Amino acid sequence: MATSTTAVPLEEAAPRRSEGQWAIVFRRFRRHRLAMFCVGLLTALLLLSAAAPLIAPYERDAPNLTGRFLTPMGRDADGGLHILGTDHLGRDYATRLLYASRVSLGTAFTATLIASTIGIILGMLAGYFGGWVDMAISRFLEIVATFPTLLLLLILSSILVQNINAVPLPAWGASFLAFLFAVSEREARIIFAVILVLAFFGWTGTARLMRGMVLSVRENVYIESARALGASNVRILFRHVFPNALPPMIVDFTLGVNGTLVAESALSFLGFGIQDPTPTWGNMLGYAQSYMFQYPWMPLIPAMPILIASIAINYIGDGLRDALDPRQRG
Amino acid sequence: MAGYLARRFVQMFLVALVAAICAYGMLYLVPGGPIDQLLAERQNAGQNRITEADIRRVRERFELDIYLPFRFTRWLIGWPAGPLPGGIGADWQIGCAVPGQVRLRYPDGRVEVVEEGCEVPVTMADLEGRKVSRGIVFGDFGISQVMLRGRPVTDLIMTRLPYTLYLMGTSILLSILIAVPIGVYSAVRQYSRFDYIMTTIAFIGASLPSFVFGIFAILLFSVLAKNAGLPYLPPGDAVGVRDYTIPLIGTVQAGSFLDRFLRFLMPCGVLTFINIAGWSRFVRGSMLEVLSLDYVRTARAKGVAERVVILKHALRNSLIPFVTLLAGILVALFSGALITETVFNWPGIGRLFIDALGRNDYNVVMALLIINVVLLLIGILITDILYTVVDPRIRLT
Amino acid sequence: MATESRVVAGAARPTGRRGAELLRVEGLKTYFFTEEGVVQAVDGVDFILRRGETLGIVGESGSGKSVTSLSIMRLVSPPGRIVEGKIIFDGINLLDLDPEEMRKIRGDRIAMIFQQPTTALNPVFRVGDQIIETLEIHQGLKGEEAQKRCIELLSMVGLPDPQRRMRQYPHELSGGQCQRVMIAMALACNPELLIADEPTTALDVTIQAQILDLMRELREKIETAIMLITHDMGVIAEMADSVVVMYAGQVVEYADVQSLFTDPKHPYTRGLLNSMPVLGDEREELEVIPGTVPSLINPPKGCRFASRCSKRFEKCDQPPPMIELGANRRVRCWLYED
Repeated sequence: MATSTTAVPLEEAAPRRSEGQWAIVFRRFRRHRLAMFCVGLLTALLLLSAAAPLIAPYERDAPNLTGRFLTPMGRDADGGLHILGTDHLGRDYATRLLYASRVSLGTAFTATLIASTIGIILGMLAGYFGGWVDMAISRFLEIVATFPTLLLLLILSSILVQNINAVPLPAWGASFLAFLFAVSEREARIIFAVILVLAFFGWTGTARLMRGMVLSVRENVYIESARALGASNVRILFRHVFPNALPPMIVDFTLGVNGTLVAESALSFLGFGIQDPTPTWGNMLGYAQSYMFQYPWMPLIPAMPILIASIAINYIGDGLRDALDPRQRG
Repeated sequence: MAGYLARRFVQMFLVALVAAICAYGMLYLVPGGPIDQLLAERQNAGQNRITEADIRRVRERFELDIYLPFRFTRWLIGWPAGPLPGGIGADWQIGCAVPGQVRLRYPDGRVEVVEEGCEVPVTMADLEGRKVSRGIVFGDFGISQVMLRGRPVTDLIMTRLPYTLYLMGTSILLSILIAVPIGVYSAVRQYSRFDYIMTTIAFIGASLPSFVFGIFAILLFSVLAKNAGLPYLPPGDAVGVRDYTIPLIGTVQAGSFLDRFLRFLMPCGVLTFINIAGWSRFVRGSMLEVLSLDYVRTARAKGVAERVVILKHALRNSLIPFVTLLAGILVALFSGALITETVFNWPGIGRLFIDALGRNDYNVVMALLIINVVLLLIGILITDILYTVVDPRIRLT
Repeated sequence: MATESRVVAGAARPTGRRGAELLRVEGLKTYFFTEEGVVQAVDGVDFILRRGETLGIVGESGSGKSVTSLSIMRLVSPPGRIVEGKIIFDGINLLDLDPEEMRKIRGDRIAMIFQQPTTALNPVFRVGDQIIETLEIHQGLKGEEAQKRCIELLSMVGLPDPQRRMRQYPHELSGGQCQRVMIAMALACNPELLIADEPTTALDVTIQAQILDLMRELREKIETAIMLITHDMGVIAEMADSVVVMYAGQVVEYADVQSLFTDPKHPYTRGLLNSMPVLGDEREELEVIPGTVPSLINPPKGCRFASRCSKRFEKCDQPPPMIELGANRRVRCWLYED
């Protein structure tokens, strides 16, 4: 009792987070050892995937029918060393894994970024303006919530991936994504289709969270006073509401990245997402599953990064939650 | 209550209808689609050149020769199935069997063939004699266009449903029975070694995708155990086709109870583990919250025994939010676990969906989708009613 | 009404002589072991409570008064822990009892009511059942007998239509009604000690007065000793016989209510009294004690109030001892040394 009853002075609840507060957040986060370690792991994965074209020892899609299913550290007929072995077409596993990291992590981040942006904007509109705007957005949210997400994800993805011409992506977008993911423009279209599908189903949680945040922040006195001082709606939204809603949004985004990463892996694993020859962790695991009885190490190689990334992102999210909002522990 | 239910049912019907229209539109409005896929498959299979008649047959099978709105109403309510009473509208065109083709000659000499107009129209009269469902509104999901070649979708679902029901039923039951005590105990002994270990396992379990689990399980219990000469579990399918020998256990007859049981263990185990991970965390969090509330302190101050404080005063309250999760159980029972069923080649509904989608059997896909939506809506309704039972503060309005 | 109910319950206990010592708290220290450090929420508290007496414990939020009461009930939850001291209740040190023995005392011989009556009742059980639970635990009353007693208790605390009320859920009652239910529940077993932790703070002013009246009325009937925790000097003036003033986990002054109000010794007590509005007061503004309660993680070495005290001098860097000023008068301040 006595520990928690210190009254919070009004200034502290004010929206402007001084640099000092972020420093406190950072210090708190750093105390979370495991989360710091996970940041290191994830950074390493990101750096490796960014450097994929530079450090990959082989060509990504180059088949080698004389050197299929090589064990890790195995050598092919030409004496080439394959650190992680080769796949069913004799393609170098390490090379494909590097490119796959780029595609998988990139897809997850991009899709979550799009989804969060949509969610934040719609949630802010619904929460701030209320009335019919809120009605329309909330009803839509309710309906989307009753959709069987995974089924629709699969249906939409399979349709779009089969008909990549239907993907609304301008040429410059395709070339940008091709550069970003280190793939061809055709592949970039498929990746974009998957990103679209993931983003389309990923924004509802964020919107609901944001709406709730805005509603609670709006109740606070200082918004009233800001309005009394004649601040415009947009100004209030961005100067007052947004900074307050930011901490839970950061946590939401982090956990969202994991959600999208897992969803993309699942789609690709089942064969409805990003297609071979574009490597992703999911589709590599999908192929490896067929050969796991003869070559049991094969599924381990793409499964490991999924495992590491997924757990790492979740621990980071956990650490961030502790650091940003120490009351929400548990 | 009756008024409330009536209102809810109307709402549910509307939502289901919207979902049906969206999904149907999504499947059929996108260019390409089943026909291209099917033709491509045939060509790849090395069959003869596809004839005009082939195309016509495929179009007819998928009802692509009927315009979309009519196709949709035929699927939804089984209408139109022929001319109106008295032969009215027998000659109304409602589709096109063979699209007309126009040769376009560009100024630069390029020639392109463009579909334009209709060479062989389909009229209401042509619908007579065609197979048509009574409409999904009346519980008829139509025919399976690819997987069963013209047999009802319902047959297909009924052959798969038992597998899903007993897999999901067992794992959900086990999960609740295990997850609730674990969650409660973790919360009561917060920061104890038990709590630490359970939360870590649950954390990892909840953050990992199910297919990674499935594959690890197969690797460990099937591949590695078998290679090491230990007793192992068969890696997939619900029923074996050949007898096999397992060390220490002996020969297992294909199709025997033991065979089915061994094959059931892994998918059930993986599903149960994943559910436990999620639910025990949920129960723990909710329990911790309740344990810090005033009325728990009141109960202790009254001299209620700690066990009763937890099992009566706290648990009842902490399970209120758990009711929300139950909404999904009805759906899960029916539609199964898509990914786990696929990994273990379990012939359930989830697997059926993947197969149907992969082979463009749209009636099957749509049937499963609609059943899913409807069950989820019913699940939500049941949840809302359950809420009023477990929490006297909530009223149906 | 109360006399009738005693007959029904058949649980009239040997109440002992009015004025005999009932509760003695000695050197009580309750610390919270948090990540930020050890919070010395209660740091060496002593006081005595006699049978039939009402002892007021007053102080700001964070002064340790609630933790003191929870310590007496042994309901301090982790990371909090009673690290030192004695709580002698009717001759037994409560801290020596095993949990089961302690449980039997709670709700039976020592009962407690809380600040937030609406959240202190379990929302999913009918209020009658919650009262009956207490009767069942300590007196083994069941079925109709328990119902009858429950109705008596509810009418004793002035709830009209008790038959109907007992079948209602807490959310169907108002805050004041909930507090009456809480009081009925606390008095169900005729406890020798009732701990009331800010029983009126969460209520409207008019309801506050009603609840205080009720408590005064019942005190006479049941002869329960009351330990009344509040930050409101007005409530103290109305209810208490003697007063413990707490500041930053320590007792700074102990006196009977008359002397405390007429002649407050400790500068903090004076501050508290000066910050209290008095009807017909001539002052333009109420005085405010400047500053805030010091951190209890690293409390100042000397007097804990020194940083806010207008009378501080060099000596205040040393921890002041409790100074006896008379039979029932003690103060922790260097000003009164010899």
